[in-house]
Amino acid sequence: MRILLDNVTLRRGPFQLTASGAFSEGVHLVTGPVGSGKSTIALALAGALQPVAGQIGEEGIRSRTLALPFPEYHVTGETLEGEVLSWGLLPQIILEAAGLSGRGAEDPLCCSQGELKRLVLSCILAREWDLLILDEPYGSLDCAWKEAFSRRLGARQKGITILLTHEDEVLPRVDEIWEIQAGRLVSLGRVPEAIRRWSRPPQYIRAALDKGGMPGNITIADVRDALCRTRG
Amino acid sequence: MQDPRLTLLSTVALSLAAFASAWGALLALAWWLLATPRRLPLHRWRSALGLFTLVCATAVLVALSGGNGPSYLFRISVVLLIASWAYGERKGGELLGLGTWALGNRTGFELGLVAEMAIQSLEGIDRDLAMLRFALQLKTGGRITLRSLVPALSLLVRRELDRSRDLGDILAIRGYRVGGSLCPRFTRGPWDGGKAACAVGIAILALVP
Repeated sequence: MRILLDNVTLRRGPFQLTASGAFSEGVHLVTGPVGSGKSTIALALAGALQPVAGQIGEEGIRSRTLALPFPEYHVTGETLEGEVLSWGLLPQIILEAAGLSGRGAEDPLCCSQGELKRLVLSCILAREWDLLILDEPYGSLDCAWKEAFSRRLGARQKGITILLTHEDEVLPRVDEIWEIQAGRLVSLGRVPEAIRRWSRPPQYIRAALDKGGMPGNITIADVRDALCRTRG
Repeated sequence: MQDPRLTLLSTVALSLAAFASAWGALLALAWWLLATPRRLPLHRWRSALGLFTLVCATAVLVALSGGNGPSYLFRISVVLLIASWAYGERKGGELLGLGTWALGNRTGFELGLVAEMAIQSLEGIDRDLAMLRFALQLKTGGRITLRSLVPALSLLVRRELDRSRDLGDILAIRGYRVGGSLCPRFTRGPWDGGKAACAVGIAILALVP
């Protein structure tokens, strides 16, 4: 199961981005500052944007979804319960997982964006996808929920998970890191080797590297472990 | 065409000519073929097809009620073609400049601002629609029901109302009350004047008996 980007050029208005490489099974982190083209890549990988040059090939992908940055776009239910049902899931379990127990009769569009994000992410993560693309999934979430979803993301065993974010506080365990550098998507390789090649790592990773620590992965727990080892 | 004043003049003149008679429409079509990059809105083929279907249906009604249906279809299609060209030519902020140039810093500025905000809203709705359609496709695999459309359309209205409220708040916070001062500058392409003169000539030919 994999996605191949063969000298792909993507264009949205005056913005242009190039990409080459392959996403294999595992969790991939695509980073880059705001406006660098993460959403453009997400749309292209999900099939909503055709490249102007090159090809995006797929092997063994039978199901896919993209969690859009604005969860409102996903809403098709008139109540929170109806929304969960529209994903083919059991409302009670999902509402509890999203911290919305007892609110099944409420209008989804009257919820805060954070609540809606929790609901949509809970629905998406409750199903199995061969290709799961998450575009800025941490927006509107507080640290506790970021950590909860990070744990669930990092625990995904099957399929390709592509997480596109500029988040620098809470990140899940990942297998490979990609970075958008000057309009080009570049694979930094597999973790942990990729961490050293990361030009703009989150502050907590940079601090660990500066102190001589080499984390095994990119979560705060991994960085803490690396620092403990450094201190001896 | 670079000068928005001449673009507007040409659009009005050619639309009038195309609407007035089939000959006017034919001349307007010739103008579009010769004076523009001849770009059809193919990336919006669904919207274009929907609009064209609507015009076809109206043409059938015109024919059934004793009018000249084919002529109506041709004339309105050319009007839409000219409108599509004018829409594609626009650049952000030029309607504000155009309004201020035509009607001054009070009424003109206000009208220009309203026009800019209207275009901004249309672009926002366009983006929202594209995302809603795609999200719906991902979720339902393209099976769209009336029941799933209601929240989507409701979201569209809510987002638009939110945007309008935010824009109103920003204008109020910045101290906007009425009018504004603006010295618009327009650049003119080498053939802009000639193209606009031809458009006005076509309108005169079509409108003067």
